[in-house]
Amino acid sequence: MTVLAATLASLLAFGVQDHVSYLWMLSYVSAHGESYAANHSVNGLLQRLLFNGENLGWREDTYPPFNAWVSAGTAAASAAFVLACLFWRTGGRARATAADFMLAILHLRPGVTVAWEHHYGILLPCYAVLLPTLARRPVFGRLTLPGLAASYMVASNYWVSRAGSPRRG
Amino acid sequence: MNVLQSYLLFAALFVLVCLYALRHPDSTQAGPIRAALPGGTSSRAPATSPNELAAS
Repeated sequence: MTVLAATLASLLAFGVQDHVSYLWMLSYVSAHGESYAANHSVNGLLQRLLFNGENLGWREDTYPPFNAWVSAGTAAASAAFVLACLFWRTGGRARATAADFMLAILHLRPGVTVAWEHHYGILLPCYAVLLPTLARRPVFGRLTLPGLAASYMVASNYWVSRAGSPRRG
Repeated sequence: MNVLQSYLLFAALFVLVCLYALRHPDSTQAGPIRAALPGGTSSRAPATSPNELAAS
């Protein structure tokens, strides 16, 4: 009901044409992706692996050229993430756990076409939950907590120098 | 170097692997994440009778 009311209000305020244009924009961005370094999705990784587009400078009016390999790889990764989240070893439990919730949220980050750095802010509460949990149940033995610490150190810092202009949100 | 620019992706993938390991029902080390949280419960079926509740 809320979505319907918000959609109607938006249509009244901005008109139908802007909404149709926005759908076109979403389709365009989904097809082209983003090679800029701040895009930490599988799409960004593939773009940079294939040197498709500029990855250090930010251009708000330009997207990388369409690349069939990048597009197919992004679609395959998205499907894999969604299917794994939904069907892989649910254990037959009827009730979802906190792990299921975090998995669902986290799968949306690498699986989408564009995932900027701030989209990974959801990692912070995940680390807050995982630290006491993995301390009690080290799933990878003695390497568990050092691995988690390394992952947190990587995720909580900027490691790439860039010469681009400010990013968009 | 291009690959290293996706460092957040790799950090998130490690977290995902940990979460999957915790969710694994057959892992004796892992178990459900709720059981490891303060005040969490295990994945076994909830107790239904008063005797069972008292024993748990």
